[in-house]
Amino acid sequence: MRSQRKRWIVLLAVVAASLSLAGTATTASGRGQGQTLQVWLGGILTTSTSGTPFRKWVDTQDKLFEKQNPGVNVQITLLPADNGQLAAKVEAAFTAHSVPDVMMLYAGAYTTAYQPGLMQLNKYIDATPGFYKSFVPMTWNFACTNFDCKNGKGYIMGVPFDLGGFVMFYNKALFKKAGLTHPASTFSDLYKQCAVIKGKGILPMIYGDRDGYATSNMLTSDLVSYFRPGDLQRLLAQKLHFNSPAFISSLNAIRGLKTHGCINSDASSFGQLNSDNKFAAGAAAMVEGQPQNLPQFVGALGSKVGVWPMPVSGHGPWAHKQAGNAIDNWVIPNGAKNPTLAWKYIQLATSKRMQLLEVPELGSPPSNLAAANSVKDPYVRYFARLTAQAQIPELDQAVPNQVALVLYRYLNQAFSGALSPSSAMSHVDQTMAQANH
Amino acid sequence: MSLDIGFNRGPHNRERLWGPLYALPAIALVVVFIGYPFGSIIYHSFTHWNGLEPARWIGVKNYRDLLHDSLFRLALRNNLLFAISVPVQVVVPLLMAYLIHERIPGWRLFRATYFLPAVYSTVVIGLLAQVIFASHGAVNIAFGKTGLTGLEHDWLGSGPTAIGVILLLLIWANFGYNVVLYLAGMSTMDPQLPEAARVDGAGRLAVLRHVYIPGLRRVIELVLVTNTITAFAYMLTYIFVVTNGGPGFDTYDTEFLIYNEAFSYQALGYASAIGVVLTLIILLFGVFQIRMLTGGKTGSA
Repeated sequence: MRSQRKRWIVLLAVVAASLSLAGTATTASGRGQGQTLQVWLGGILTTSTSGTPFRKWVDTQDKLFEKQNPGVNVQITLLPADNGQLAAKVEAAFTAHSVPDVMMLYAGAYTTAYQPGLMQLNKYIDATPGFYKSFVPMTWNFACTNFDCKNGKGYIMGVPFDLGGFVMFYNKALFKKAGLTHPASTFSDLYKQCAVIKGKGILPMIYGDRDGYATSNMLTSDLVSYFRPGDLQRLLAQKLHFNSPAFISSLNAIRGLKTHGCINSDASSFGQLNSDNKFAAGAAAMVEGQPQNLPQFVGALGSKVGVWPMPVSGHGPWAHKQAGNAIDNWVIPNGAKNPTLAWKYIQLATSKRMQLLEVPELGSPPSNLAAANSVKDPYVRYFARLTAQAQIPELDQAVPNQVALVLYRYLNQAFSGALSPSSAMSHVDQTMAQANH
Repeated sequence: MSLDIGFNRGPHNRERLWGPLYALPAIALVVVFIGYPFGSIIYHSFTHWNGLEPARWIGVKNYRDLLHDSLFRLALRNNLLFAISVPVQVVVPLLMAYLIHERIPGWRLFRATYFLPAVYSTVVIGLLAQVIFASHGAVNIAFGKTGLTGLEHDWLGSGPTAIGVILLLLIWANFGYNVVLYLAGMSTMDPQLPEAARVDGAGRLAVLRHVYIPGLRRVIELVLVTNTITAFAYMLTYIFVVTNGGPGFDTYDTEFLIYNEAFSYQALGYASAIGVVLTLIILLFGVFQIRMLTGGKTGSA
């Protein structure tokens, strides 16, 4: 009888201890000290690590926001730079209902893929007079359902942050050494330039295609020279296939960089960020890139940095136009704890003041119209001019998200020679069919 | 007529209730953290679910799609390739453990050295491999400096060699741990057994074969089963860090495929179906291996 009583006492003690522990945990988590705004940085800000110009912009934005909103503490989380890993982190957060207050995501399909998990922002935009019209008009569409904001009446799930397209950065000093002034505008001329540059013992172009991003960027830029009006819509509706002459010819031209000795021998397994670092270190005459590479390159090479449009191989009606679009969006996930504060954060990030600061720190043309009109930096003005000529958006931001992630890998295989361009593109067509199904 | 279920029939039967009652917290934990998630995975494997909207029942479509999925076949093939390491991971550490147990000269140094990789995190091992096997990494530099330029290769840039590198890492990383398991097993054996065998004229190999290996049957079973499970279900970190599934899809394994389908491609239902199939495969392998070793008999050795 006594032993039974002891057992009951032990059991009750265990239950009481568990309850008190649970209670302590609840009390601890419930004890708040001011408000915290959770900010996840994807898109171009994934690389805003400590000490970078990007981080300087983020820190300035956060300090200013905290000053304007006393008692609020901004907590930054950097999302992975790898697009697949970034998508995984965001998807896991939505699935687990553990979302931040505000996020930066790549624009286009990288935003619309999460539409059911994102807050519709129309009510905030409509309640802020003049907000919609204060942006460069073309930037909005990549934040809306079907990439059409219907002049503010469409389903808006993001606020555009910046503009971009792809360009060829070149090292003016190395070009001068080779007796050249700037990169060629066509692939066939570029191959000839490669021989001249190589003859001087200089690596013509550093190419980091481990993740397929470099080939994706080259392809997008070159496809403009093949596409005709309506081709992108046909591609999205699967009336035009990836395994079609435009894609195959373009991929063959890009593969020509390898056969003509334009690039590093390990291009297929070399990381894109590493190739940026190599170019910044003066190890190659050219590298493909985006406006946001500018701060790093100018910081390292100064006035030696030159910018030129990407080479093309087609002869279509847009042969010397560009691919470009809004690159990043700010979004508020459904279930965000502080949506009103999040909206204030977005307003500040896209204000003229912060967007003008974006120019030297991030290198991208701003989405804010007043800021865009006030840009003095010649490089950024050049980027803005190129982007204004954009006839198609960047391919990987226009196709469904899962297709883009598969496309990178098949482009890497097509470029490395592991698969023929035709075979690689057939696989992408299959993924596209599954995505649309 | 009444049904006698045996409860409330005196102190003896009440005693029997204490066992389950004490086990209840543990059972609850198993149900919450294993039973419920696994049940949920099985349920979702029959649905289309993107993680954002409610899951939609689609019957066996995910399983049908799996049959025609070339990427799933490739991933499974890679798991089988990783499983090639299992015999090596069973035999070589056993030999090393035996040599250490036999106190060969420098055995203390060997014991410490071989256990070192087991202390490193998988991420560190993966990053080391990236540096060593990169195009301009230590391996190619070594080949270049010794005039063996013909052997220089983009190790992580082609599928077969990238798989080879991962296999090598797997064997190296688990080697020390397996040696320690064997050493622990050997130290629990009666020292008079090998001694008696030696007195009877048995050489080192004969002692290993006829005394240690039969005595270590349970440990061998453990090493075999855990390493097989590793080859199928614990490769994600290696692949994530060393190759990220590339070049192309060449180093995808089933686990990496599940991760990508679930989170990168928003196909959580399909990923669940792959998870269920992978669990069944591991179960089958485990049961088969244990049956092979025990000849169908169970119980302690």
